[in-house]
Amino acid sequence: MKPENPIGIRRSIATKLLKIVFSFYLLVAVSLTIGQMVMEYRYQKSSVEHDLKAIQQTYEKGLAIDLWQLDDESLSSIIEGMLKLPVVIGVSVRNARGVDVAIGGIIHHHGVRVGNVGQHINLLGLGKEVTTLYDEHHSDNNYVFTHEFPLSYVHGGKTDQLGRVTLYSNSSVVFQRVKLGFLLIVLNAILKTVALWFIFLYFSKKLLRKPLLSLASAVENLSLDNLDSVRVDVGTSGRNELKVIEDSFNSMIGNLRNSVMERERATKALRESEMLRKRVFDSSRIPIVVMDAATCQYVDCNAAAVQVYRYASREDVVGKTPLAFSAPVQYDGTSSDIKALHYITEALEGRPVVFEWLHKRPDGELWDAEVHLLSFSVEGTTMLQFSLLDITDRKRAEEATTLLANAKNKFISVVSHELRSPLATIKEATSLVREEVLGPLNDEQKEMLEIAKSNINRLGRLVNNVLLYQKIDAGKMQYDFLENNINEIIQEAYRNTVLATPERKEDLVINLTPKLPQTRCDKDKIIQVLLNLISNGIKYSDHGPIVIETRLNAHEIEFSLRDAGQGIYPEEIENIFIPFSHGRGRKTGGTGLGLAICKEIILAHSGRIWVESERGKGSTFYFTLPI
Amino acid sequence: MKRRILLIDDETFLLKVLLVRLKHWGFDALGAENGPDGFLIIRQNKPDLIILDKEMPGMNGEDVVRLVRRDPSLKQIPIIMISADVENIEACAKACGIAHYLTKPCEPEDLLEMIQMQFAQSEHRENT
Repeated sequence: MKPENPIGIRRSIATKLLKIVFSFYLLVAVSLTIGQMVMEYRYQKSSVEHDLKAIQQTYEKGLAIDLWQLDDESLSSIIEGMLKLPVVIGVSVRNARGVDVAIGGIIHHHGVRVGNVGQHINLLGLGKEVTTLYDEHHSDNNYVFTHEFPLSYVHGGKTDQLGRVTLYSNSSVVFQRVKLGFLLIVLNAILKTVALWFIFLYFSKKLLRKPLLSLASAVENLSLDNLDSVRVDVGTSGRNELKVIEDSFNSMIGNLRNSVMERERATKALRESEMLRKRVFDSSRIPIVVMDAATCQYVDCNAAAVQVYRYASREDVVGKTPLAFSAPVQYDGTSSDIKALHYITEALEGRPVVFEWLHKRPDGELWDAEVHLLSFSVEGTTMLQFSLLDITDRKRAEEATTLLANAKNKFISVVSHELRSPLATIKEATSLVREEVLGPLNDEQKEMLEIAKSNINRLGRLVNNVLLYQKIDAGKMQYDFLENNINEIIQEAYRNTVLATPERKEDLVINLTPKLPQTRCDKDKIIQVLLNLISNGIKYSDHGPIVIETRLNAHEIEFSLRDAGQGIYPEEIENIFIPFSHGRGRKTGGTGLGLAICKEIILAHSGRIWVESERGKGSTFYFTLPI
Repeated sequence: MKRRILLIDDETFLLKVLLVRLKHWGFDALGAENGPDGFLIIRQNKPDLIILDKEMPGMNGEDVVRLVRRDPSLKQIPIIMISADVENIEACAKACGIAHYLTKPCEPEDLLEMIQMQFAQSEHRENT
């Protein structure tokens, strides 16, 4: 496609360049022409002077003879003849005394004009008159120059000075001669200028204008879509400025192409990434809703959110506020709008917020969600993202579990209390009989009543332990942690045990590490643990020593109780601290809760409890308390 | 002169055996199966010591304690509270201003010891 010429010829750089160059050229040409003309003028002037000298030589002798002989007529005819020569415009002849004796044509005498156009000049004062001494071309404005020479006559070896002759000529004579020369010079200059003008125009068009226009056209047609097809070719050969521009443009196009390709690749990657995000967002099974923090309206949500809200489409959700999906009041009795505002404010302060929220579906059904709320910013707009976790089932299950646990605790509590009263009655009634308050008994009756007493006490302990364990299990056990010396606590437990079972006093071996550091514990609870462990030791070993020891470890005090009983079956060791997990070696009189209670109490003290046992070789129970 | 002890408990059988026990120990033991009856006996017989169950239908042990403590002529009578509610008995006794309580089932020795202590304190108060 031929490019439309966007620049007029007058405004073209080539034209401007041409103007500048030709201005200088013209100046030089004119100066040279003037110089040439001056030279020509001078040459012609010297030629005129040369002619005047030649005239002198021609007429000098005749003039001298005529003046010597005072031959007026001859002198006059010579002067007339001289005046007819084209270079002579005037002649004056002076005698030896300086008096003009003959004069003709236009003459200047000491700068003062004597003769003039059309005037008749008298010659020699003899009445002889010469007419038409010069032609009309001799303008009187022209510069006058003269040639003067002496006249002398030689006779008899003697030279007489007769006077002087002055020949007048002027510039018009010279101009007549240089006219043609001037014409040729000017013509030459004009022709050269015009020829150069056109040559310059031609080459500037060929070398500059055309390539620049084709460059302009290529650049004009260049767009991000045709970077592959467009290539700038300024049509010059060889390495020159235009070629450099061409290369630069082509290099620029290449760079642009690479950049565009790079951008396209990046855009594609971004698009793919966005699609991936969108897919992940849409296909996520976690309901996600996005809210504009400024308007408090949902601006986006995924399919899972639509589903969990029980709406038909995304459009049903978008544009609504969170309150449209909330129960009017939350579990704690706070109005949903106040509570929502609180959480949103917290999230906007940059903290991730997690809370449980009671939602409402369009049909009025209530459901619970764990909401993860966090704020983020998209191009200056603050958004809030709600990730919802439907915890309705979990919540119901928790409620059911809580209800069940409460019911169980209530049941245990009531049953325990209800058991206590009849137990007290039985205990009191049998005691009265056994103590023979109501009359004497035989030995067999007494033995039976002792058995009854023992089992009434056991039942009492069981009820106590059940209540205690239920209290621990419900987290209602209260501890009174104080600085205590474990050795003193062990001594107290020992004394209680000896009081209760004096028959085993000799078997109890206390081997305590002296000067143990104080430990923070609830003394009564630890005594309970010790009594339980000691009574277990006594119960499971009919004879043999029961060794109680204390030891100081790095950060704890370790207590151990070793019996010489039958030991525990290996498979039972693991479950021994679980409630009612009686082993095969079970003895009567236990409640099945003692060790479970011990474990809970020790754990509440941040300690550890365990047992090491080998069947047939006895067991060792350990617990630790931190210092 | 025999010390007079009033026992108030809605558990009829326990009331019966405990009255036997108290009498066996040599006290003048009276019994009531509910709060109103018990309070009536208190006003009429002015016992030296009251032993009462915390949980009773209608007027319970706490109500009886409050009535007794409000009456200037009765408020000096020492009271021992007994209860099967081992978890709350301590708090309840404290709320009623009672220093001594026992949980069911209790050992007879513990009860006797507590009774004797109460009488010793009463005597000490009377003497001073």
